[in-house]
Amino acid sequence: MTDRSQHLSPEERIKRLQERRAASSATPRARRRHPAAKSRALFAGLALASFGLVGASMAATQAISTSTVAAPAPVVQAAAPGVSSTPGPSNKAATPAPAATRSAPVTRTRGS
Amino acid sequence: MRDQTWWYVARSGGIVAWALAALAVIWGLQLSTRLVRKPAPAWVLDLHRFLGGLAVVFVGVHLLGLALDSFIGFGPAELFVPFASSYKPPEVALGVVTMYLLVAVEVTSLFMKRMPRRIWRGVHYTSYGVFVLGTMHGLLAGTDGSNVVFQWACLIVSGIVLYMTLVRILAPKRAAASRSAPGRTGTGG
Repeated sequence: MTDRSQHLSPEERIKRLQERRAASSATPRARRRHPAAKSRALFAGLALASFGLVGASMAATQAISTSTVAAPAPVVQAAAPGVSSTPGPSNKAATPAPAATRSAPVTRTRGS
Repeated sequence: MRDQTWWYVARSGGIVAWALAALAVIWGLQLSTRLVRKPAPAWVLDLHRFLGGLAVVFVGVHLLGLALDSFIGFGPAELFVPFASSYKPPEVALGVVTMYLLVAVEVTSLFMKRMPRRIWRGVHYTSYGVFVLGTMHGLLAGTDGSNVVFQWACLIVSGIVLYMTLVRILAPKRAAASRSAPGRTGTGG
């Protein structure tokens, strides 16, 4: 094999060398394009997962706080026996009014 | 709850964008300081670029959520012009400026080879501003500024960035000192 290559002209040898180099470096170069390809996928997945988790935890926290506010304790009515209770206005005041609070963006109190 | 979906998208997108930008800054500092010896520079650089790009994507998600949320009522002016918002103008302006700086860092990095190194470096240094202003925006403008978990995350990440920045500033002096000392080899920066 060495004998055969020695018989080749310098131009032919260079040409063959270049061909061999191109063939051998084709795959590693493609691999080297993104050295952190696996880590990229991992971080993209982590980012997406945390995006969903953070959003879901926000929604859950909001749902819990809303349900706590929406269910007022009936202590007010039972506090004074014998006295006629007026459940209407007091209960309405205790319940949240989303439409009213959402009408003014500056003074809003959107929960966590 | 359904009407608040875009609000959650905006907030979640903002938090993830901040985290990714912070990671990109930390990865960039790792690249220049080589504080941790193990990861290969090519791997760190590749991930640094990717994290920066991903941060821009999530800033887009943050803006999309704000634009589509019917309650907050943010239009193009509020999203892209500082102090145009009636809701916490200075704090929201911090976010607008942060977005422009982040985009500038990303665009100049994409055209890094076609522009003078000095200009690229100058713009790239504003990524410290991206981190600081973005953190302030998250803590002051956002609903989650009062969240203890977010506050702790900001504190820990800021500590890491500060420490790595100090190492970066002091590293050349350390390397020079070790070079001048006989029998010791400097690591450089």
